[in-house]
Amino acid sequence: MSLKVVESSLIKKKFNIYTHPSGLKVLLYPMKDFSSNYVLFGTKYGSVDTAFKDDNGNLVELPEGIAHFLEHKLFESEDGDAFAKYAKTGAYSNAYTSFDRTCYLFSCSNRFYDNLSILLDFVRSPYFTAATVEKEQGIIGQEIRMYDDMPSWRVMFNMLEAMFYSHPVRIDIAGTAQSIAKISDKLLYDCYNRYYNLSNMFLILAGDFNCDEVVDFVKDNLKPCDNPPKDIKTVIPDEPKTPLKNKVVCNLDVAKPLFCIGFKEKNIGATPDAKRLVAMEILLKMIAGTATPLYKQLLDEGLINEEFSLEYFTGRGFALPMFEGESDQPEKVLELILNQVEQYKQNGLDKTLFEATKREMYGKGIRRFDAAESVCSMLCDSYVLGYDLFEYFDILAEIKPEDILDELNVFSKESAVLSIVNPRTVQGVEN
Amino acid sequence: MEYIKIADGINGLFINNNRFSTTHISVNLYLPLKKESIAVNALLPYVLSSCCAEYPDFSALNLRLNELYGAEVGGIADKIGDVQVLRFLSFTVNNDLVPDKIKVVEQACSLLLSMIFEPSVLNDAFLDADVEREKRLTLEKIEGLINDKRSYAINRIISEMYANEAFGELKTGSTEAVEKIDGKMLYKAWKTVLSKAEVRVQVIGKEIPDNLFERLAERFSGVKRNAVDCLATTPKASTGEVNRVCENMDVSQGKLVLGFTTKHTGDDRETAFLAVFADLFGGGPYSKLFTNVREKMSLCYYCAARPNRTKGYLLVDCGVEAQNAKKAEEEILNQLKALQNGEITDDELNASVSSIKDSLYCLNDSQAALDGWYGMRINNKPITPEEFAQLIDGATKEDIVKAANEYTLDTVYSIMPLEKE
Repeated sequence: MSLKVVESSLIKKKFNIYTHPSGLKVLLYPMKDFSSNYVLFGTKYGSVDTAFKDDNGNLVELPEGIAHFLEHKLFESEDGDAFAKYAKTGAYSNAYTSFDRTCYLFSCSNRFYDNLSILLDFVRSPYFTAATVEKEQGIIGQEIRMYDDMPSWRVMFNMLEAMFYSHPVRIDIAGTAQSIAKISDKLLYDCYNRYYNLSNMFLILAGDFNCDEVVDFVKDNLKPCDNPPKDIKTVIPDEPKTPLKNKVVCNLDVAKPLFCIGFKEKNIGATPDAKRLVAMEILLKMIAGTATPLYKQLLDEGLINEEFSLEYFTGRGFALPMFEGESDQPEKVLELILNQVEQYKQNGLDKTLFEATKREMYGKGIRRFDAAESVCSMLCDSYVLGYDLFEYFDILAEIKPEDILDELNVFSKESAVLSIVNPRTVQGVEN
Repeated sequence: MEYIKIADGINGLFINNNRFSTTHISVNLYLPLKKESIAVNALLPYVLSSCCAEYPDFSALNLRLNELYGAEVGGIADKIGDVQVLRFLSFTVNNDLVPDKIKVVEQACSLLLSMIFEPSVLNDAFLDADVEREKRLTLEKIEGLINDKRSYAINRIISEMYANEAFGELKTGSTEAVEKIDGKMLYKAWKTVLSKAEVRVQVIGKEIPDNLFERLAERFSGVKRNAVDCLATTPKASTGEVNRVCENMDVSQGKLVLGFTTKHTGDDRETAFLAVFADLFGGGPYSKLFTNVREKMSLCYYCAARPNRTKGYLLVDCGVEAQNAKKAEEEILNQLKALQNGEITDDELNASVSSIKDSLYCLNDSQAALDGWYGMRINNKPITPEEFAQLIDGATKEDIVKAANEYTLDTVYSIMPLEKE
């Protein structure tokens, strides 16, 4: 067995990597004296994986929402559902599908290996029938309806739909009532066999365990796949560099207009590396973080409230800076953000703010190692996006103001998309 | 765990824990929940944590916190049954983990104390700009509740169930009450809170930073402390009638909430059994509501039962199509009846007991969860998660049947889509 140790001399943390003969990557982060364990078993398969090329090179398009549907259905096996098995051990279990991954997880304070065995077993035991697929269409239909009524969800997806012509990140993770109606048991098996090949998967563990024991357990419980790995490269159609629309408005039952502002990056389809992640995260905080003059102005002038947030929205094959919030004047918020960018372009970055932002990210970043769940989530992000977690901290420690100036070019009037959800009482154009 | 008496009505709790990179501190002020003071008291932690005499400008304060390696300070207001709690929190990365070894924990701690005791005031009043800013944020928070129909429905059923009590008010107080607050009123409330609140300071981390408890005692010695208020909660007596409220809104999915009341509140054995009952009813995926209403009947994506230990109620909430709402309600009540009649298998009971115990033991791995566990318990030596787990472990089928029969349906609240023509 060969455990590779990855260590950071800067933040004094380390984790281990084991590569199973199947190609499965196992990341282990031991947390001594903790009472609980958190485990993620996942695949690089999410809502952006909407098409692939089959063995003959033909493009096969999948119904929107199928990765999420498959996640729901995997909980059922021929010998009962996974929830029933976890019910015997007392673990908390769940699963989620995002744009670029599907993860199955549990957390527990005892019977760790029983729970790990359940996890490894049910994710490897697909069982789909026409009857169970039909039942799920009812439940997921209700989940989709719930999201339809959720303004914070709608405002973001409207922004993504307006930004992209065809990049699949514009598609709702759960799909639509029409698209999920096309899902059959056969199609689920096809997707399962393609995307749940162990070579496309990862197992991430954090908690108080012995790494060698875990690796032995994984070896004993996971057999390499019979099928060779298939080409799972996601097909991303050609995408123009400017947004489809710069503004999109809809009406929902909300008290105050919600907005989501995104900026389209030029290098579409690329996954950002650690350096870009650090640079853009610093820059966003320097544009409108809570310590900036712009944030104070927005708050003092009543243009935002506590719902305001900023994020570098990233995943496998996509990246864009995003600002969200509630405002009676979302256009004004966008204008002030662009003004701030313009000021930085002309005058350079404020050094005091730059240093303070670096410190903030460093302190908060270290604190994320306090919880097994956030450790797994950081490891998962870095693995799926393909960067080194500790390199992120090294870059953060070393980065200079001039290293992030290039990122200012992402922000412009032309690259901006403003999505607004107005109250029903406000008359607006439904785009 | 260590309890330290700081002064009359002021207690310290230290949970020594070397596993975390963070020092987590909370200063909790407990007061009786009264209709006339909810709003003004609730605004205090927000105004106090946004600035102070030393940093009257909140962006300067935030810059300072960022320089302290992203130290976080904040304030919130909450309800614990008929008690109002104002919580001041600070989380800071431990000194030994920052590159230049500056004493970030102590400096953040001093900021926290400055916020509570040295606000930015003038002529016995908070500054208009600060008060108006935080009022606007609170008012917009209240207004924005409608954006999330699930939590809106939960707030609405509480206001219906406890219409004549302070508990029926939002944590923030009502829009009308918030609008009336001015700098002078807030100043008066600040003085009253400091003089009459029961206080508990909780530290979870490697060590108590730099004589924090002594410094706190000294700060409070400068406050004229009156007799600390009596803190007690009265559960709602069952009226025997069910109040039904339905609102129509422009939504695609309806929301249905059933509110049940019980006379039990607190941390005793009965409360533990009520928790197991609620979990069997609509907690985990093995629960009656999940397995029947969601999985067997496909009526809902979520259908959950949540107990409230502090005021003694239980809510079942689900998202449902209008045409299925009646069916869902009937099925929820059928499942309750099944539990009341003792239809509980050993497997179900074991699943619930082990699941609740498991999550209680996990609490030790989260400073925020531990702080919340103790901070939301007002008696001086709160029950520990482990002690509560022991009570849960002792639950028998008979205990659960008894608990199931303690609940009476009080209110049914729903949001249904507008009739489309």
